[in-house]
Amino acid sequence: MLKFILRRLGMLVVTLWVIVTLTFFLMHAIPGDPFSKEGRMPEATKENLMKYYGLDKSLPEQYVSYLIKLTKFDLGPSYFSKTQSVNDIIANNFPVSARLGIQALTIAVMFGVALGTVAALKHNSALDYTAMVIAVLGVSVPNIVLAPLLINVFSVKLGWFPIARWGTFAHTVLPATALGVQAMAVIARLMRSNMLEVLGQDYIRTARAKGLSQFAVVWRHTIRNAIMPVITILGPLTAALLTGTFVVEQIFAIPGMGKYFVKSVNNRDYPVILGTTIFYSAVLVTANFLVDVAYGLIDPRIKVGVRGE
Amino acid sequence: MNRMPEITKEMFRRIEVDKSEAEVIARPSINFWQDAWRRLKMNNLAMFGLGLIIFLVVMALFGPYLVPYTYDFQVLEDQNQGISAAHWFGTDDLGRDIFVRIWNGGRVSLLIGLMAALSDLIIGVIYGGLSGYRGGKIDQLMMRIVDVLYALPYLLVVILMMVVMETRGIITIIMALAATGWVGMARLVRGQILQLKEMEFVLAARTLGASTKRLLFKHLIPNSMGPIIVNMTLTVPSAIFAEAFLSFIGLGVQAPLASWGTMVNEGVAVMLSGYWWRLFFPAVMISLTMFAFNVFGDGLRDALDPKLRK
Amino acid sequence: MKKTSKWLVLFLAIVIVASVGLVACGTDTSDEPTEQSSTSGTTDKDKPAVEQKLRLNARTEPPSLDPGTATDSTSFEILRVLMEGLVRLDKNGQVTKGSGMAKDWKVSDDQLTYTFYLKDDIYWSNGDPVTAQDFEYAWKRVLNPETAADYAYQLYYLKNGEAYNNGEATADEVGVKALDDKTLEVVLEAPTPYFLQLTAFGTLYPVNKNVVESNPNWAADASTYVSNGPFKLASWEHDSEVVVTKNENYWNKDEVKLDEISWVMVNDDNTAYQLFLNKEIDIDAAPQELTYELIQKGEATSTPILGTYMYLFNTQDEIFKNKNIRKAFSIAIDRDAIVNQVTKGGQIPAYGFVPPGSSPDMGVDFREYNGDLIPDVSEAKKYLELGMKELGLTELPTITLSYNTSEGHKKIAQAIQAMWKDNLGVEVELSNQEWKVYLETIDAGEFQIGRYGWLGDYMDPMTFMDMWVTGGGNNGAHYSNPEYDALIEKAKSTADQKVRLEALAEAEKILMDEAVVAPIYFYTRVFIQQDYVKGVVRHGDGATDFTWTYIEK
Repeated sequence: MLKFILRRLGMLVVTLWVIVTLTFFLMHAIPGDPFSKEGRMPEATKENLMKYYGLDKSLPEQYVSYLIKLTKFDLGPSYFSKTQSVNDIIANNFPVSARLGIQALTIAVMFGVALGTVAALKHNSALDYTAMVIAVLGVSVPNIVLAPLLINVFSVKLGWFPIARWGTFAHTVLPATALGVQAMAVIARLMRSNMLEVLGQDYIRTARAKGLSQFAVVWRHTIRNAIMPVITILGPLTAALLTGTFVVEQIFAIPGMGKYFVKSVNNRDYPVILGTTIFYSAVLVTANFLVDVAYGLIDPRIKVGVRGE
Repeated sequence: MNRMPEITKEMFRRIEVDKSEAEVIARPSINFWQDAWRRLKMNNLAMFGLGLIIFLVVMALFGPYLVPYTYDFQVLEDQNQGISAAHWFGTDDLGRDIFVRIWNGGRVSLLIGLMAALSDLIIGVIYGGLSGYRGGKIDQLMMRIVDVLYALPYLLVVILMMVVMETRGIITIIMALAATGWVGMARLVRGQILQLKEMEFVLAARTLGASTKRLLFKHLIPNSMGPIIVNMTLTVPSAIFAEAFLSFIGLGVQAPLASWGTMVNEGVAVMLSGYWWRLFFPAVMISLTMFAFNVFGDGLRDALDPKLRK
Repeated sequence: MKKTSKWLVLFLAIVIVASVGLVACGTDTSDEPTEQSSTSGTTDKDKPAVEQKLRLNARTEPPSLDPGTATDSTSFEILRVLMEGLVRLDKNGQVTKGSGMAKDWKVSDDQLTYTFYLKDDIYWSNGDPVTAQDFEYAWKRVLNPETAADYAYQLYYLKNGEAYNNGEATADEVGVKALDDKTLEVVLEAPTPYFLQLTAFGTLYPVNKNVVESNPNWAADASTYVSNGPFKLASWEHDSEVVVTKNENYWNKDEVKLDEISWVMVNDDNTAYQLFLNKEIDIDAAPQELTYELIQKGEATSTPILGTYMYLFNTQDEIFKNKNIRKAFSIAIDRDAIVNQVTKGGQIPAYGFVPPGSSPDMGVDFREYNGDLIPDVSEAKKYLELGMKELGLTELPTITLSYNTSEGHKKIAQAIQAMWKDNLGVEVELSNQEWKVYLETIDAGEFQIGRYGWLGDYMDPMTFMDMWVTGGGNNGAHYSNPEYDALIEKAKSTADQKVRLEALAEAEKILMDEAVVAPIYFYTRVFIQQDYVKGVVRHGDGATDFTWTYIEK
């Protein structure tokens, strides 16, 4: 097992390196320079800035020096924010995003699995239809519509929650809901479809024939087998939710990380682009690794990555 | 409830054997697709979904000719008018008819949604299927490639595509969506295959000497159809919204043409002003599309399910 | 399979109910902060003294609170209450002696040497006296190539300022010198009639020499931040809130009535407006879509700021090298319709290039003086035909209008596209690009018509006029006209406002007659403000000063 984990860790490093390399050259390949604005700055000033940030060196030189700094976990300065380094930005904003993401994920998984299961068990009933209408709405109503609606109804009209910003638990409820609804809908749909499939399997019939209680049939045999696709999408979903979402942060004025994925590209803030990408990748690859481990735990027949040994 | 009902003699009836009927085939021989279609037809909800899809497509094609305006015809004085006999869906902030813009936009959005779903199906399913089936080192390598594609900043990729491809049209948008859109599907299918390939019927088929191709396409993928179809139906609305995002970056359809996604974006911006029709109609169109594809997808899943085939 | 036992469904239902309950639990705790703010609001009314706290919206994180590296309006708005230059523009936006760090100054006859005498009772928030050395240090720091300050060019007016920034002169050769602790001598490169005004600008604020030398990162954190203005930095939660409190060391602290100003960072229009309605924000920009309605209802106020929204013509283009074609396209824009029916933010239709209110030092408003320079729409067709004849064209090829992606630009572009079609019968294609890509497109001259906006750097027509000289850094139209260049040169070489006015007016006439750009409207800033906020000072260039603001309930 240790050997397995070490190998995956090595793989993680290699994957990250590939991502860093591709992103590095990709971002320099697109037009636009970090310091351009509507009014053009004098050439000398621009040269000073390029020199200050080491952009006057050749690309391979910049690449190597970036990698060297990276091994010391130094992600560099931000060109845009003169006061925060990339490390500062992640340290300040990731905890916020992560907290919100975990709450959203909890909502999504709990409601999604419950809705999907109920819908499947009550196939073609009113409950099933209700659950699926919720799912359809959840996916087809984008966050830019849902989030202001939540604010207008629950904060402005009902006054249950603060309108926006960050601080207490109450501040997190609406944004976590807005974030979680879409994921919930996706999970509910996948769960329902797979539950239906599993419920039609012979072993379920066998289990029932053995006289197992309904609870045991559903809990031990059906959900366990039907949850596979949900686990699969949990990998990327977790990574996306934990590292923040631009729209929800913007609407609820949350000091999260999501805005930096967009802002950094818009500003051509190279170190921030790289830093956030590396951070996101690390979370993603780790989450996907955990998903693979979960496969084996849920269905012991599945062996990931060990067949070659 | 479990009590055995009493069996009486009256319950039985003698059947006369008509020898002439012996040669008649009771059920016409039908192939897989005919069978699926037959079962699909029996599913009212699914047929409703299909009807809705056809309706939306037909309206997208012919709807714009039902009113005497074009999508870019503007009368500034008539801006932000509500529903009326002259403008069935109201007008937007430049005084353009929303009805004609909705159906014009439907052409863009529906095509993009369908093409994205298709690319999901073709690239994602095959890639994920191979990865899961091969397993081991190849699986690990293929999945790490997926991770890399997933982690690359999408904005960068899109801006690069925008610059590289001089001509901008629907093909470019579809390519930008297809570039990384399939990776979610690939992961999903791979997860399913990992689970399925350890099952007895696969072992049986393999023992009988079935080829990889046959195993994948006749056994593993058909048995993963549930999540595949569900995921495809989810791809349609997300592609519609992704297009709205692309036009925000400058790669989507160029104004004055609009898609449902861009119309929703514009509608959200005026939510405060109370011009509800500007958000309502495009949003309803996307939800209807979503609903139609979902119920149709569910029906299709049931109809194609090899286990349910009788 | 259909015989699902009811209690399993029940179980799942309980899960759902429990989760709802969990959310509901959050409700209980959630009421606290809102209640607190509302109760404190009611007690305020009972108390005789009103809490002197102003709550503003910065929209986004200020990139820098170091005057040397700040470049954006958000940072400068905060800096304006934290710091103070030699001059602080008074409540009427005028330069008056004694309104800032300098109590008096002398200007040499050749208009090149300024001698500033600092006040005696001026101190930094940490107790250090503010000295002439602090100014010298701050200005040289901005010009120092190693500081890599974006706004170094704001100090190019100093003798050898540009040369030092280019690495062609040493720091000692720069025209700023502390003669003693309280006397600062400034030597300029050329006569600059608006230089005193510039000393009120953020880039020219002083910094505490000792503090900056011992900690280069002093401006990143509230605990190390040292200021000389009416307020001092109390806390800075990144991406969330900046709070400043009254600076007891400020020389004019008796006139400062506010105890605290906070800037939250809420960027979404809808959210910000809800916070405003809930009285959690006191002043904000009016939400884009409600601007018109709010102005009509008298709930929002529109003030002009020094800026022009325009379409550039690429004068190097095959078609738009022709002046009459350019003119036709410019004239065919119905500017009143754009302002009244498309942008609807109280903007002023632009029939000239330089916005009104640009010439406080000239004794007459430049815009009024030079009048409307763009003819009536009805003449558009005539110019188009003339231009096409000159080019030997019977039909115009497809024209492309480029703009950078934004809902506002998109709306205007579509409206103008329709106007060109109606008034000229010309089909124009639109092309939108991502911002930084767009800037390169304009820079490289790979466009025909392009959107552009220009905000004045200082209050003088020159900031709008010198951009069109041959080879000018911001000459996006790639325009070149020796006659124009000569007029600008003439205005630059003198401090005589009369000569400057004449020359610049003549130059603007050429600019408009040749239709190098099609100005569309002059920018305005539309803001909403709670009734109980008084004494906010807004300058003509869009800057806001909260030094004299107070709350009156």
